[in-house]
Amino acid sequence: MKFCNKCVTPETAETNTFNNAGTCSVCKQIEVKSKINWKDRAKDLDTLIDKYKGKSDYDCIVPFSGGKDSAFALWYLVKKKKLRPLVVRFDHNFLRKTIMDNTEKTLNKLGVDFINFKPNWEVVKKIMFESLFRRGDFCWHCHVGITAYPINTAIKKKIPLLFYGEPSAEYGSFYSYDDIEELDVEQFNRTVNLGINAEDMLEMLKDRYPNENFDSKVIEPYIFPTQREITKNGIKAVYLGNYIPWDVKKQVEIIKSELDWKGDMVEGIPPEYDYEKIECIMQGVRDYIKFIKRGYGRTSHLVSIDVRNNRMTREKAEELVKMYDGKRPKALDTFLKVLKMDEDEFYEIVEKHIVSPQKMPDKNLLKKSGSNIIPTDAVDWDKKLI
Amino acid sequence: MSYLRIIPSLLISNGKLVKGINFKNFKNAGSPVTTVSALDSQKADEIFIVDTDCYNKKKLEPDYELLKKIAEINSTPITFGGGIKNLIMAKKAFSSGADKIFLNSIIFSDEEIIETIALQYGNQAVVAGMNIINKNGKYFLMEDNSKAINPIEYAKKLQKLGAGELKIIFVNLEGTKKGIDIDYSKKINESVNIPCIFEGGIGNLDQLDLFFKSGLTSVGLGSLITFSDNNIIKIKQHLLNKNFNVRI
Amino acid sequence: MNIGILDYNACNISSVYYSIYRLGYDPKIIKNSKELKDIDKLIIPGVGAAKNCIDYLNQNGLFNEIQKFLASQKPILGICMGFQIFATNLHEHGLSQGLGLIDAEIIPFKKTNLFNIGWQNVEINKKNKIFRYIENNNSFYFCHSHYLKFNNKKDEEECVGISKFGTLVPSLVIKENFMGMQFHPEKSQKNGSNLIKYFLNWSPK
Repeated sequence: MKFCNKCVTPETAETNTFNNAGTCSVCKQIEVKSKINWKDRAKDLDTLIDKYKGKSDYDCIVPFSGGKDSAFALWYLVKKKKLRPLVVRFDHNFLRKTIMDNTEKTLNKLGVDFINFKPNWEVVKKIMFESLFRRGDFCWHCHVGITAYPINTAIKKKIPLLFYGEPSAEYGSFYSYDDIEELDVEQFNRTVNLGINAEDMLEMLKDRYPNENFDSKVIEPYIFPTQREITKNGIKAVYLGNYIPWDVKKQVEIIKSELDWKGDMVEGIPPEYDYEKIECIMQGVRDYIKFIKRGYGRTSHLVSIDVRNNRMTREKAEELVKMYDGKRPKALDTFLKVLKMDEDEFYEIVEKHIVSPQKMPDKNLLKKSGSNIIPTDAVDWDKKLI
Repeated sequence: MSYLRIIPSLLISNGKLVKGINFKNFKNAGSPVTTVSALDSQKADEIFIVDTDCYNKKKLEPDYELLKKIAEINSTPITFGGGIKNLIMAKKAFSSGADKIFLNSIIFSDEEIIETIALQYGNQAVVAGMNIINKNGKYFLMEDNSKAINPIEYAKKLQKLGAGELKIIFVNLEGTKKGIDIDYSKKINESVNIPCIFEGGIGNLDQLDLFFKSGLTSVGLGSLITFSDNNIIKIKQHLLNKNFNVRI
Repeated sequence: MNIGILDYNACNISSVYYSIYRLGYDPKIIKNSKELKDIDKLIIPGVGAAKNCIDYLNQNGLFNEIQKFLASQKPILGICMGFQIFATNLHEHGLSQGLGLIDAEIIPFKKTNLFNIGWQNVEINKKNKIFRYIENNNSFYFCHSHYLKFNNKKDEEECVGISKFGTLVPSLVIKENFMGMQFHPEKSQKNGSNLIKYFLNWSPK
């Protein structure tokens, strides 16, 4: 297994390629980041905002999870750009207590209108299983929901401008910094839906549960508009991170002081990253699966970003990876109960999706690898979900 | 120089996507329209669609309506076939969303069909197919009961008859993931001056590497895409990492 | 803006139609000369054989109509066959006369590689203003057996986009209010749709 000689990402990462020197494409594209003329981008942002401000019931839609990126984006657009947004959240049903508290505080302090949509949990569970089975990734309903739901809302309510947060170029090579990314059908198919559209998911559900009489209403929240619908409705879905330089540490400082945003402990990562991925109960399971499939987890991902931005040495990065990646999360207990699955069945399914040249880790070692330190809200997880 | 071509091969039956093994045992693999949309976004180089119902004579005409629905959301070249046997059917296919059409069994009974269609649409718009069976090292065509026709001679004949491209399917390798027959593919490729697309047996990325390393340029993919986590992006990143000339 | 797509009986009409449709427009499919009068921009697609195409256009009076449209200074986009018919002579299935806007011959590829089918990069001429609006060296989808050979050096030097298939293949030609593409923008994914968008916003001076 090859690893980048600069950060610690292995060759199994989805979009990374390595150059002849052995440096990964994401490390190389960070070099471009400093070359971007952010003054021009700032002007572009103002031009964009002028075009849409005041033309609809709301100036824009901000897809919201309460995490650091959407919290910062919302704060920035309201406080710095004086916009009147409609805040929209697709609730995947795994929201943790801290993030819900953060959301209340953010919405109250910024004074914004908020819409929350939570899909049918019984259906979500079935979709989770299908997604895990087909792609080794149980998060399809979330990936697709948080992307499609705000855009469908934009079309329904005729609010064409949407601001998503971070640019994906920070950690993946789907797009480079040169591109001003926009969310369209191509972006959705390439980076969001694991190659499965809502209509495909419906067929898969009908296949597995023939007695349930599933129809298209069941997958309505997940249908992404056609390119024509996007163009005809003038939808402009952009990423704030393409217009202002994205500095996670600085932004977290801002939301902690301005919005009383609090971090949380997340399974599988060092405690100093208390601002990353705090939204989801199942984050630990998600990262655990990635570790099994690709040989690296969330810690690798995070320390790689720090190494790339010269905030950490590679040696320290490797040390943290060894300490935190690949440990069995507590959330797996809840996960197995939710999907009525036993642990061996779980490993069997994930094993089918291993990315070469990664090999399946020893199951017995995996089962015993759990940490003693578990998040304080873990006691509530079963109660919420089962 | 032209880029290498990765061409997903889709089989449809009754409006659904199916995956056949050795042209039998179809399994429902999802929705054709959204699958094409995904492949289009992932930048497949072309997409091959065969209507198996018409091919197997279960229906008289291929599913033009489905082809139209696909055309509505797709911007990748489509080669469409399955039981096309005359100019009128070809015309309907081109009007509904085909960019090239695929002919196979009809050529045995009507050799002039290729030139008839080519006179109107151009030779480059007609792809002629060959279903090859390898029995103990002897190669013959699936539709040839006599087993007397030499497939390599047949390939040359198809070029003479005006085919713009050939699509060669190794029938007994299809769906097996055992790897494609590179040696025989090269023999066919060297015997003609028109582009050849080869399909049948590729089940993992290493086998794909070997195929392209041999100098062949266009591959049809079935099970590698439909029933695994591999998508075009991943496949092309892999090939790019190995310095193959792929378009991303 | 009324966009017309000429259906001359041998083209991938659906593919072209939907490529415009996806950009939010509702183009009209033109089958006879009468339908051309309200059209602001004309697209002539092409999946065809030269002789058959030109015979059809002549027999249905469409050849004259295209010439009239050209003279009206309204923009025309010609794709593949629809591009080649604007040359002087087409040498496929015999010799046919084209519209002659571009002083060039349409000739077949050499025997060793008869058909150019697949994706190639198109290099854009830095001297043309389009260079500022579209990315250089993008890949586009080609599917043809004959290509354009200019009859004079000046046109060759002013050629806007060029690719290689054994020989140099003029791939994007702009002359007055005509834009011609040897490749298929309607089948070239995002690169193609961006170029089509450029044509739809194009005002030839």
